[in-house]
This record gives sequence, C-alpha cells and structure tokens, in this order.
Amino acid sequence: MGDYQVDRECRYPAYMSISDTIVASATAPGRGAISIIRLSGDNSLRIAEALAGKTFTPRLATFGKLISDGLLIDTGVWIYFKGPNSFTGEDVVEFQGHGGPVVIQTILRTIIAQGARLANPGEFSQRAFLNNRIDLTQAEAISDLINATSVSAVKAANQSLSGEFANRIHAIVADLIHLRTQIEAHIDFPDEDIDPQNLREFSDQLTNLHHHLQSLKLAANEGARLNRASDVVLIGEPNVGKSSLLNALANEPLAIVTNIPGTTRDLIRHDLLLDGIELRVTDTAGIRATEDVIETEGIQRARNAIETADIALCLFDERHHTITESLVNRLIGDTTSAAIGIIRTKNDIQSQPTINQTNYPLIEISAVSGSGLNQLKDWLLNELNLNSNAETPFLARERHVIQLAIALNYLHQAMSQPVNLETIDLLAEDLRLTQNALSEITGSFTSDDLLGSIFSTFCIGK
Amino acid sequence: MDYTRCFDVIVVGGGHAGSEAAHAAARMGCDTLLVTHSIETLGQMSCNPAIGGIGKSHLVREIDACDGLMAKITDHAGIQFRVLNQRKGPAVRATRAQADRVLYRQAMRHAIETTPHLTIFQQPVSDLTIEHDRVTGVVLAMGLELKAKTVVITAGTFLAGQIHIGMNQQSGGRAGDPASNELSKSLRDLPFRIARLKTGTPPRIDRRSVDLDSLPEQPGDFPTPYLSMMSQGTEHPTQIPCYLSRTTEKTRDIILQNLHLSPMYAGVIEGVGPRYCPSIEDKMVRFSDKPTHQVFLEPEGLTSFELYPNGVSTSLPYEIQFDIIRSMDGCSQAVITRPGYAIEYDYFDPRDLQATLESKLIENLYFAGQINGTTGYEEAGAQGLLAGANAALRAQGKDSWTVGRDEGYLGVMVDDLITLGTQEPYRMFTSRAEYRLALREDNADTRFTEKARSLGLVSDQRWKHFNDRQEQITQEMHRLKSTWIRPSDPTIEQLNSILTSPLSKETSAHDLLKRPEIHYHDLVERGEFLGHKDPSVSSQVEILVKYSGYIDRQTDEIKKLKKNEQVKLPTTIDYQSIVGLSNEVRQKLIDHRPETLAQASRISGVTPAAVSLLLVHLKKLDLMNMAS
Repeated sequence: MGDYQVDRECRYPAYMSISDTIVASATAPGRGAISIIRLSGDNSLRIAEALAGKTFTPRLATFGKLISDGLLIDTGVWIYFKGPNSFTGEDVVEFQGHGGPVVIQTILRTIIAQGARLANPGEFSQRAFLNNRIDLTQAEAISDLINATSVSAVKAANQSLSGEFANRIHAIVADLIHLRTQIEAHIDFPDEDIDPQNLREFSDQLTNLHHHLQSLKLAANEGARLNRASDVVLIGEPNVGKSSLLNALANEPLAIVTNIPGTTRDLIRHDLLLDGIELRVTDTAGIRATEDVIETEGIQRARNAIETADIALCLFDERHHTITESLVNRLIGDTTSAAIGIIRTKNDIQSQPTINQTNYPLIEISAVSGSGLNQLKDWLLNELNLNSNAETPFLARERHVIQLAIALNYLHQAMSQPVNLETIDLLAEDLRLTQNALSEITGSFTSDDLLGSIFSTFCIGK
Repeated sequence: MDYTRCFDVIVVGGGHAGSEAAHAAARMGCDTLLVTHSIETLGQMSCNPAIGGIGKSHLVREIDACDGLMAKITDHAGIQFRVLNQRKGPAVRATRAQADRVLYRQAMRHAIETTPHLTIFQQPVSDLTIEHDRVTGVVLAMGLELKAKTVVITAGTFLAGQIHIGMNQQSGGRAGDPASNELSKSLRDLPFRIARLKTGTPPRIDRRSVDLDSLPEQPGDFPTPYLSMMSQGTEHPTQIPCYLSRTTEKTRDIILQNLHLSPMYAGVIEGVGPRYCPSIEDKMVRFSDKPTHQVFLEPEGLTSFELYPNGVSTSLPYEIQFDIIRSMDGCSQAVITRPGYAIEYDYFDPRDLQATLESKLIENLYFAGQINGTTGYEEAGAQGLLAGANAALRAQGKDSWTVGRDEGYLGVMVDDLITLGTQEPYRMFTSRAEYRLALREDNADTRFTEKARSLGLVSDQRWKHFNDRQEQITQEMHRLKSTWIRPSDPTIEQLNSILTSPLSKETSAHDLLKRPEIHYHDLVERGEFLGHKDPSVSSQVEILVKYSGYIDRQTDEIKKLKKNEQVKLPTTIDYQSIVGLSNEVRQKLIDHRPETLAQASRISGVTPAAVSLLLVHLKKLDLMNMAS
C-alpha cells in the first residue's frame, strides 16, 4: 500500500503518540437535570484529581466535589476509565454533575484553565476509532459524524460571529494587520524607501490594540449567552398569518397584524422561552414579487434570515390545500440547512383537508383559537434537542472567548517590554501568534497575505 | 567525458542550482556529470550581481553549513558587504554582498573544475530517456545518449523565454543567450503542469557617464562581513561603494505619458510579475503620490564600467528608457550599455514535486532552481543542494533527505513550493518563516552541519571546526550558569545603575542575561567576568539565552505539528472515495497531492474537519490491510 507504513506492534499509531487532553459536555445542552463532562487524553487524570482533591481508582464511581481555587463549583460522581479500556482508548474521566448551563460553562472553563482544550466536533469518536475502540464497520458513521458536526459547528460559529461582535473583531484584526504590515516591512525591507517608522507609534498602536481586544473579550464573555436563542424563522406568502402566529406564541401584539398583504416589511424578532429553551422567532416579510423598494428589501432580509436559521416554518393558508416540494422551495430557496416544518394556518376557517406531498412534518394551527399551538411547541422543542452532537452556538461563542483570551495573552507578552529596534523580531513573533489565535475566529491570514498587505502598502522593489 | 559509463548523477545546467547540485553529489562521492550549453557561463550572474539580503542570506548560510559553494565563492568575489538590520534582533539580521561578476564566475568554475568525481561537458541537452516512468539518462543535442541513475534538471534560465522591449518581442533566454527551447519542448511532452511567469530587468549604464560625485555614497560595512563560516579573513577582493540616485518628477511624467507603450499596460504580457519587484511603470502607477523613488547604482565589478540601477526595471521602448535614465539624479549624461526588458518564461508547477525535489511523476528525476518557479541565486542554489544530495542518496540506495519548516529556510521554501505552488516568481522573505526566531543566519551550522555530515556532504575540516565551536558554546554557557553575581559584590552599584530593578538576590550571569536591558558586553565591561576570546561564541550564547523563552514556546508548537508531519498520505489514495469531504477540498487534494497530513493541512481551504476525515480514512485503510 504505497509508502504508508503501519506499525503492527504498536497499539497506538504514530499519529496518536502525543495526545493532548480534550474536554466537552457529553450531554445535550438545555433541559437535562444531569450533565456529563468528559475528559480524554494524557492529562485527564491529573486534571480531574486536582479538581476533586482526591485520587481515583479505575472504574470506581466516586462521589466528590469539583473545586477550583478553593471555590466549590459542583458536587457529583467522578468515574475514571484507564486507557486503553475506555471509550476513546485514552485515559478518560467523566464527571456527572448537575445540569444547568452556568455550572457547565464554569466547569469547562475551569478544566480548560488546567490545560485541556475544548474538543472539536466528533473528536471523542474520532479518537475512539483511531485507537481501535470502534471497529471498521463504523468508519463511515464516524466520518458522517465528523462531517455533520463540523457543518453544524461552522454554522454555529457564523452565528456567533455576527453583528456587533463581528464588527468589533474585524476592526481589531484590521488594526493588527496594519501594525504587522509596518513592522514586517521594517524587518524584511530595510533598504527600501519606507519612511523611518516612529517606534513610539508602534507602541501607541499596540496599546490601542490591547485596549480594544480586552474590552471585546469582556463583552464577549458577558455576551456568551448560556442558552443562546435558537433561531426560528416564519416564512410564507403575504397575509398567510405569520405575524398572527408570532403574536400567539408571544402572547402580545408585536407585529402589525392586518389583512392587507405585505404589511410586515421589516424583520420583527421576539425572544421566547419555551420550556427552558430560548427561541428567537423572526417574522419575515411575505415572499412575493413586488416593485415596492422597501418591501423588496424586506424580502431580501427574509431570505438572509432563512440562511442562518435553525428552524424555518413555512406557513400556508386556505390558498394552498396541496403542499408540494416546489411550493416550499419557492419560499425558502435551496441553500438553507435549517430544519423545516410546514404550518397550515387558519385551520378554524379551512374547509378542505390539507394534502402534504413533502417529506416535511405538517402541523395545523389556528392563531385565533389556539388549536395546534401546543403541538407546534412540542415539535419545536423536540427538533432543537434532537441532535445532541450538533455544536451549539453557545459552544461556538465559548470557543471564540477562549481564542480571544489566548490572543490577549500574546499581546500581553508583546507589551511586557518597551518597543525597541533590538527586540522588534520578538514583538513581531508575539503579534504573529496573536493573529493566529484570532484567525481561529475570523479565518486564516497567511504569511503570503501579510506580504500582499506589505506590497500594497509600501512601494517595494529596490 | 567517458560516454560509455552510467553516471550516478547527471546535472543538466550550470547555473547556481546546477553548480550546487553537481558539487553536492560529487562531495558525497557520486560519479557526477554536469552538462551545460556553455562552460564559460558556469556560475554566471544573469541579473543583479548581488548575493544575500534579508531571508536570502539565510539560505546562503544554510548552503554553507552543508559545505556548499555559494557563501565561499561570494566571499572571494564580493566587492561590497553589508549586514542589513544590524540594529535589529539577530533573527532578522542578514548579510548582503555586491559581487564582481567575473570573479564570481572564475571562482565558481575553479571550484567545479577541481572537485573530485565531477566531470563537466559542454553540450545542450535536448531530451531525457525515460523507461516505465523512470528516468534513465539524457540525450545530447549532437544525438548522443548518456546513461545515469538519476538526473537533476536545473535548466532554469528562462525556458521558452519571450523578451519584451516596448512592443518589440523576441525569443530568448537571458539577454544574449538562446532560450532552452529543445529541452523545453521535450519536457512539455511529459505530463508536467506548466505555467508562465514574468520578470524584468533594468537597463545598465556606464559609470563613467554618471556624475557619481553628486550622489550619496553607500560604503560597505567595516570590518567587512563574511558569508562563509569557514572564511579566514583574507578572501575579500578590493571593496568599493554603491551610490544612491533617485527618480524625479520628470521621470514620473515621462513614464505616465508613455504607459501605452509598455507591453504590460498594453496587455501584451500575460505572465504574472512579482509583487516585490515591480517595474518602474508599476511603481509610478500604483504609488503615484510618491514624488521620488530611490535607485541604487550597483557596480557590476572591479573591472567593469557597468552599473546596475537597482529599482528601474522596465519594458518600455528604448527611447523612453533613455529619457527615464537621464531624468534621474546624477544621470543627465548617462550612457546606457544594455536596454532593460521584461521576460516571460515557463516554469513547472512545483506541486508536482516531492519534498526531496524529486518529481512525483517520473522516478529518479529531480528539479531545482528557477524551473520550479523561484527567483534568485540563493533560492536556486539551496534547491540545487537539496536536489543534488537527494539524487546522490538515491544513486547510493540510501534514505532521502528532507528539511522541515522548523529546520531551515530551505525547508520553508520547498514546503511552500510543493504545497502551495506559486503564482509569482517565488522569493524568500523572513516573514514566510513561522519559526523565524529559531532560523537565524548565526545558527545555520547548528541546524544543518551534523545532518549534512551524516549524508557525506561535509569535509573533515569543516566538521572539526563545527565541533570545536559547539564545544566552546557549551562551555561558555556552562560558565555563565556557574558565574554568580551577588548583591554584596563591590561592583554592584555599577550594575544596578543599568538594571531596571536592582539585584535583590544571588543571580547567575546566565539568568541576568535574560533581562532585556542587560547585554553580555555590559557584564564584561563592569568586570563581572572576562569576555570569551571568540566574539562569535559569546554572541551565540547571548542569543540562545535571550531567545530561550520564545524558542521553547516554538519547540512546543513544532512538536504538535510533527505528529501530522509523520502521517504519510499514500500516493494511491483515492480522494473521491473519502466520505464527508466537500468537493472543494477533494479537488484541492487531487491537485496538490500532499505527501503528508501536515502538508494537506497547510493547503488553503482544507479544514481541520477535512484533516480529521483523512485521518479516519487512513485508519480505515490500516484496518482493512490488517484484516486482509
């Protein structure tokens, strides 16, 4: 098989010889009363024993505390599985504690501070497979899992990276690139006609950068909403009853409900709490061909909202008795990865039964009488909790906060001594690492990108 | 040349890549033949006669650490030496030399001609002989076939070159030489991916026609720096200065008025030119608010009257070049000796190469130098060394040699080329090296010499020199660790005056040096200990101490990456069959054919999830293999 060599004697393949320690919540986010936090890797035992303040015996459940910096964070059951007899084949420790997003977040952060890192999507299963804990027949399932979870992770990351947070981090990265461009040009092109840089100016830029990054990290930390609302988008032809449904779910009038088609021109959002799960329901403009500029803009926004939604509810009223795939596609386009549900509205005035020719579930409701609303709520909750492998937006933001902290650390180091020529290479190194940390959030920035920035900023070419 | 024998290594081309390749293979004891179309042009500097500079000198030092030629020859031929970034940190300091073309060529030819196991033969090569995707020799223009175990192609100087001066075009290699069209045609029949690049060169001027007295002089450093660690201090010829001229408002007006005559702006040239070496037309258009651009007037040699005006590369018609040059400071009467021109030429997609510079498609065939899409003597020479050594290793039936990104600029360059390919002539910059702090000019020997010795590249003399130096560095480090400075010392007042916080407890000289405000010479001057007799040893120790925190951090980063470097991707891998990969990632992997998982991860667009999927796939192959 080519030049790919397998060491048959070795239980762990060469590529697993250094296994960093990963951690994640093994239970679905949201409602559970018990949560399981799982650690895997060489340092699992060390970290767990430090937090529990006692030593563990393999496969023996131990009731104990989880203490960090002298503070009791949670009590629960610890179980240590010594590798290779564990799920991943590595040393694994599980902590079964009390559910609750605040506690889980605190535990994860505590464990990460001890040297573990947040697991990537599907990483536990991947390690299990690589360490022969899952057999060959499961290989495709593992691949599917990695693929599906990474898709959901990308989506979650995009949701986290939007709005104010995105604007601020992009501004910081732009400033960082500006500073690095000047410093690297200074280093790589000393013979060029570049105006002698004022080191003081570098120093000021550095201070600014640090200030912005620090305040963003604080804001992101507070904004890392524990149960970030799941996005539900209502979509349908004008006057189909989207606003009425939103109002029925919210129990208060939010949107202007009239029977003149095209009333809702802007997106109207409302945050709801359904059984502990936060929903952000977006009421969109009715989708139809229009020349009204304002309404066209509203429709564009509706399309955008569908792109990033978790769930899209397609509403139909008495105008359509037979629901077909093409009818649905006309509403939502074909680019969304949201879960889709068909809602037949106004069932209090419907005369003919609905024929559903799609594979999507159908729920019939009346916003006036309230019939079908409970069924809809149950379906929504079920849908949002169904895929426990999916990366949640909360976790995505948590990853972002961690990267901001790493970036800030490097920036601290960069500022630990005054900017001077002699150590400008060290400053450049700290800034490179700062950028690498931020690239995990905003996308990669290569050395070639940096060179491109230098060549477009300065006239190089002795 | 004995045409009846089968050579271990045949090197095609006698430029900077070819010379290093042939010399390396011969040093390793291989029966080596260098075939060139002209023995007179061995080691010819076809463009700017300068060696080194930021990033490039690092490559030269790495060649030197393997006992290669470039540094030693430059020390014999350099007529102006400077250390760039002298006041910045040691990782970004770089030596640059202006060379005398004639001396350089003579020294190179002498070195090649006096190397045991190395035969030279003058004949163009017109074809390769290939059997079952394996090269077996070369065909000379006169029709003779020569047999070889391995072949290194370094026919870089402008394959299928097309020269542009104004709207006038002609076929050619470097000005004055024929383009290597025969070989180029034969190579085109092989399944390599070929694309086109563009570069340019300025007109040359006669120094006697320039008012040098009116221009600022740029002398070399004193004492004159060296490129080779083995140089003794007697190698340098006479040193002479460069001069600094500038373009004027008039230059800008001339260029902007005549842009339509530039083949680039008229759309005649399609090849991509380098961003870092724009033509003067480009500079005027893109940086039109800049009133003046500097032009270094660099002497071409001690016996030549020609000056190389570095910074005014152009493809405008000769009449315009004439006006441009005469509009520059000190050049109102300047006489042009050769016109500037732009040249388009072929290169072979380096993504078709392995990290050894062996072709992925034809076994025992190696490529080095400009043919791989690079520019510069240093880039070419370093590739030549690697390709020549690997061709020799193959001929000897030994394991191949690759250089990691963490080991040298050579490794960075080759990995960039084979992993990412290039869209412009690839030139080295220090910002390309993520482990820049560890890859310094001053420690090229530490990074390369031991490995090179094990390959058979390094002479006994250099090996002894290397070991002596390492021993002294170790001893000096030990001495600093065991030299204690106490708050009660009588000289402490003096020392405290330069410390940001006074010494509070007994501290070793080693730990004291870690403080940014303290230098080795401060401690010696204040009588804390006697300085080492060899300043290069004490400076090495000082750098090691000062950088240690950063280097340790990089070492951790490197360790993590090594994991993926060790995972080989079999050449037979079927990317279409891998579950979960997006079409985009699949296509990229098929185009790049990465050799290792680490290489795959460096291709833009290949996500961490895709890397995970590859790992799972490899494991699946493992399990299937074991089962069968």
